Amino acid sequence: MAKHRPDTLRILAAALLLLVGAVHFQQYVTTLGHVPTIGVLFLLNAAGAAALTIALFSAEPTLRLLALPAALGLVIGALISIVLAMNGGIFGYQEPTFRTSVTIAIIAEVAAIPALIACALSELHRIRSTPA
Amino acid sequence: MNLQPLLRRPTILIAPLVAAIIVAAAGLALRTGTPNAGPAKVVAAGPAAVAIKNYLFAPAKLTVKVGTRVTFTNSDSTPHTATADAGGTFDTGSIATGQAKPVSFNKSGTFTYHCAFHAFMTGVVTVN
Repeated sequence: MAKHRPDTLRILAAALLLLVGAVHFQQYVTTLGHVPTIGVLFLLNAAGAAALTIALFSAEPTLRLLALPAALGLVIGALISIVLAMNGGIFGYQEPTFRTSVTIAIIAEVAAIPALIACALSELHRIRSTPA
Repeated sequence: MNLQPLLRRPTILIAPLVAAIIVAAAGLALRTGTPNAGPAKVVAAGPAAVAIKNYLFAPAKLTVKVGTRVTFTNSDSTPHTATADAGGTFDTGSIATGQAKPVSFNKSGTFTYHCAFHAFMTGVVTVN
């Protein structure tokens, strides 16, 4: 297997994904740990983000390529959830204000989406241009 | 997509799985607050207080005398309310972070309440 060097785009996408997970982890640990359903989802988000960040740096191209849409799904899911929470609530949980952690999460999620898409396109191009 | 490399070398999945497990375990170990924070029931003589922290009312069950003023203090980073389940009995409205709002209980009875923003947050004030 050829030695793989992560490019700047992948590092950026991974950093944003990690930030999304870190905010969810911090919120789970400090305040939301016992909130029904939402608490568990926050922990799953953090664990998933950690796993996918590692997978993004795998030496195996197939794993990297699988991790990218999974990461995209995780980030988009988190973004949709926060929009729902700010507009009527989700699983009995409402987010009435833009508190700091919410703002950081939204910015990271919005920035991560194009970064992950660009990263996936780049990975696809790399795989297709590599001789079998 | 060719999944053969993953099937041939499933060990490459170990590192991501271990990362997920470590984060989940750390989260469970480090999380603060308990589901039933504070004493279950307090008989208050004079003014009484209910703390709002970690998405919980503490104490969740409070017994007071008629005429008692109960102050709800929000220590969470997000706004909360103390809103009676029975419409119109009492409602603090939104209590911002670090703010407190009082409610006077001038009639005897059992008053269940919740947070209007977080329906899973519930409490009871019994007035004798």
